Amino acid sequence: MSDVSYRELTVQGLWKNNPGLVQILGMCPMMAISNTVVNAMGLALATMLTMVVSNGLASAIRHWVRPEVRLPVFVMVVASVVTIIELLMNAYLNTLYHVLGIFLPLIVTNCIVIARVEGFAARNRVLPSLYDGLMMGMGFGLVLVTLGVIREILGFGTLLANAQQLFGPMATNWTLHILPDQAHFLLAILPPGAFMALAVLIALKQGFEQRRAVRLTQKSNIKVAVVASPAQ
Amino acid sequence: MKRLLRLDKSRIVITALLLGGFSVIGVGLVALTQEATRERIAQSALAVLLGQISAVLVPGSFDNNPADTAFLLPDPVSLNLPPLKPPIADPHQILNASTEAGIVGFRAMKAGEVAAVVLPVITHFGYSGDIKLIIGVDRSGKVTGVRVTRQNETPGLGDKIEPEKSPWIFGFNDKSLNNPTKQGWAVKKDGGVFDQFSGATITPRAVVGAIHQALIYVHAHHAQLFTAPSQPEQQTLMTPQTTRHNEVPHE
Repeated sequence: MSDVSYRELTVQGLWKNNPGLVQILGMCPMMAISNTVVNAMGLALATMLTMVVSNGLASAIRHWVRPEVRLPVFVMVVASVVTIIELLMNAYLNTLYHVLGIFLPLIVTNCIVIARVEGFAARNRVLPSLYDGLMMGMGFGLVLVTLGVIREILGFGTLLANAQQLFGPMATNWTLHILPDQAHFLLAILPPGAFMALAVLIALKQGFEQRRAVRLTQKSNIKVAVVASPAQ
Repeated sequence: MKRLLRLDKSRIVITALLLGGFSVIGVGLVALTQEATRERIAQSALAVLLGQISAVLVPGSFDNNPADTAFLLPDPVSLNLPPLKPPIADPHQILNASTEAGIVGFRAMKAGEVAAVVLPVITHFGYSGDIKLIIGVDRSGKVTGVRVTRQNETPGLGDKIEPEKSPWIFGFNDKSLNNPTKQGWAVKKDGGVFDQFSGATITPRAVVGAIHQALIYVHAHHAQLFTAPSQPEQQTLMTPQTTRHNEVPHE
């Protein structure tokens, strides 16, 4: 594990081992906060920041932490980081802070955070750990935002509503009206809609992977046939 | 196996110190951040409060900062306001805690007279849980504005009580206890004058009921509500504290 390739970390976090689509970790906030893009972005950024900072800190102290207390110390690192982020959001992104509500402090219990701290940062150098946190957090965040896009368009007919909560006053007019008022699909913003949308995303990814696998085996079969024929 | 089982005292002490040390560092960092953000958080809490209050008052109808005038409401049960949990014994703390809990009234002053009062009111008849409103009523008993401050109604149906979704809530402006009459204070389906929403009657019915209830309350306590406070300490009592809002949002 000493020489990690950043390329591999990127692929793992964003695609192969995506926290939202493959590991299916952190479902609770993912379902609850993905009803609009802005909410999803807010939580995605907070989670990503938590993962980067926690991974970095955990990796930095990994030689001093004894195995007996490793988990408690790591949980404490994550909890401190989340509390600090929560305070900062309360101070500087107050409206969004209230929208995210309980799901902000609950990032502490998001399994994906402690999974990366314990599974990666505890055994790797600081820089790769920071990068792993960034990529895993981004993988989680991308799924969250994609869900937000799908659900907000279908359910509210808009995109980027309330963008000023995240981007400040200049974003007041960013809201795009995509569907007319009569065409709102209410189910999309209700809890079942979240599960369905995530199911569709997972199915799409699986389908894509399977097709690629089939293509790859077909290719290698041809190669095998070519290599095998002269021996016969 | 023997080595693993042997209790090495110094090892335990070092481990404990390690855990303790990291706790101290963690707590220290959190405390520093809290100290650094305290003022800013208090400011944004005040700004949110002032925004809500101003939204239900006629602009320019007052010359004070209503957010500084928090006062304990008489007979809060009539507005369905919950008591403080946990109860607070220190009288100086009650107003602060009540302000944080959103169960106090505010006064909009003009030339030393109370021009309007702003009250919270809660209805238990929402479609999914309580709906919390904030209402402004002027001296003559007319509604100056209503806003929903907390609701869990069905998105797309019941949430039309929010001004961002529908102008419905502005229909209460300038109404009063006798305009419309008692029978009129209901949704049209129930023989009243206020629109319900297609597909959602329960939510608007609850809101109409709550506003009517608040107007009855203002009528009953008019003298007390519209008398300017004599004790100036009420102005200084309200220093906003850092609040933690941990309400689980809908879905």
